[in-house]
Amino acid sequence: MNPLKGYSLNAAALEMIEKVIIPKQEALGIEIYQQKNGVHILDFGINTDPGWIAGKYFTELSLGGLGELKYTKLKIGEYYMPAVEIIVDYPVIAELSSHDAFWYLGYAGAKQSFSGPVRAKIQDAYAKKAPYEDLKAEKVLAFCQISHVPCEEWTSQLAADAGVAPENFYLVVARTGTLVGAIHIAARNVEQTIPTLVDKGFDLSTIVYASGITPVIASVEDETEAYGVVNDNLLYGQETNIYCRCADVDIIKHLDNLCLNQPGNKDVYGMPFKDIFASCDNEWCNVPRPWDAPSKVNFFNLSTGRTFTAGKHHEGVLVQGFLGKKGGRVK
Amino acid sequence: MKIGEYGQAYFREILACPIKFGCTITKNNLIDAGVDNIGGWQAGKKIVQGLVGGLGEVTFDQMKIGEFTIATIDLFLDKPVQSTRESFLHNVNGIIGADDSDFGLTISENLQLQNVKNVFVASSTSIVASIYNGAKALPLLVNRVLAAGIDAERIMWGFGTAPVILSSDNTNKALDVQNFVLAKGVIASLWIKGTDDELIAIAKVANDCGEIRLHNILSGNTFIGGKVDEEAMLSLFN
Repeated sequence: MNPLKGYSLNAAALEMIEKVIIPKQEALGIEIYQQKNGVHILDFGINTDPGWIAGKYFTELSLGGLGELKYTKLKIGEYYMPAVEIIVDYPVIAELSSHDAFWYLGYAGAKQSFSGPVRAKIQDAYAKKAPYEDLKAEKVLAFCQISHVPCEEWTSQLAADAGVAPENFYLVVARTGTLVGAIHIAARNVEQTIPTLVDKGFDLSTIVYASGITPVIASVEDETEAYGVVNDNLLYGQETNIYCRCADVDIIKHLDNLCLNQPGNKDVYGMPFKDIFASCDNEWCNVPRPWDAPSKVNFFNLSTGRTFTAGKHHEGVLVQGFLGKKGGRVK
Repeated sequence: MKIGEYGQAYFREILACPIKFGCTITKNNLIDAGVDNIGGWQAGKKIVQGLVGGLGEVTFDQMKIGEFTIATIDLFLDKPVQSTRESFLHNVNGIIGADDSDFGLTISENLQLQNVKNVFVASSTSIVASIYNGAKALPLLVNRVLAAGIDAERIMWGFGTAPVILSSDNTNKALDVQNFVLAKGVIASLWIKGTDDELIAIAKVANDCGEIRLHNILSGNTFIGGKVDEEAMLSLFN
């Protein structure tokens, strides 16, 4: 049953664009314009260099108004590092229907993934797992992590696939090698955990709330390097809290095979994501699902009052990503 | 971009309900944020937010110093050069703030300032002064990096964290502690488009400003100068 009946993720996000993002676009350092076909482009980091505040809004828009991003810090090894803390209401809907990047569209020989409230309308395979749809949305919002602004032919195709006129299609874009890129991927902690729970057959109806925290260890301009480091944040540094109501046994049975350090991943655990991704021809759709697993997940079972933990952080990979190949303390 | 204009909303939040922020509007149109009145955490945060012109996030967090967990003021800045030069360290006749802002801050032990209005006044021993002082760590690093010859447009984003330590009602001691914190207890980071060599050269001589980190966006390397001296910081609590 849809607990959010009457609430449109797309309408909520677009209202935020009208009321918050457009008035602040100069301070945010973003650009908003329409392509000739009418598609609205919100450039959060392709031909622009926005930062912390834009990264916060990028994430909160992706959650369709159901979550909040706050900046904090974490101590990793001997270093305090900036971190993002996410709180999410209706986490199954916010993540599976919107924030997750499971809408794939091929163009010019490559497959590109898209996230955002648009997925609640087009209903891809993971969106269908959530008890929510936004089929009547007349205007839709999609997000794309990409190194260039998609051409009009491509955005027209996106609008058509989403079932809206181009002028009703809004596309938010950012490169990975920007601070916004680092932030919004770090913010994908709960986003990464919920689909993993789907894969394991966890009963999603038992999940009530969720929160997560991830360090933002670095930002580097080169897209390949950036892709590696920002995903290291998640795979080796994120921690998700799931608040649920179920039998303890329904949590316990998943604990050993939930996180990246699960026994079946012993050949990849500890490898920087850049190397893992290269072994998958640098295509997300080739990454085996167990390799896109959270670093650490805590379950707070509200039915029994018990707490369970799976996974662990890998400080070595995180510090390596933070310092880079030649960085360190200078004497 | 009008940084002062962007920041004014934060100052106005204090004026909308001064009592909530421990502030008083004086007869000579100053805002007492820590001289006769006590000011407070939220007043300090709003003033720092106003001074960075809303171009970043300002939060309170914590830092472990030995067995103590101490509150910190943390800055996440989007345009650190602009907010530093035009507002945060822009000081005209002792009043800190942007030229295009109706508001400013002065650290003063009394409320005698004349012929100005909308100036927030906090004594050196106040919590507002301690918060502003800690928040200075990042702008001070910006100035250090600019002085080393890095062009403003190559300095992209910043992060800073500093413990907020209230030491004493004695002005001289409070000032000593604030300077000590800036020298031993803060962390300031900048993301820069540079060469590794020029960032190493800056980090190498940074031995009087806590820990500085220079992230080279072009190479992906981070160079760290100085260090938070936890042992020295602990001496403040004896």
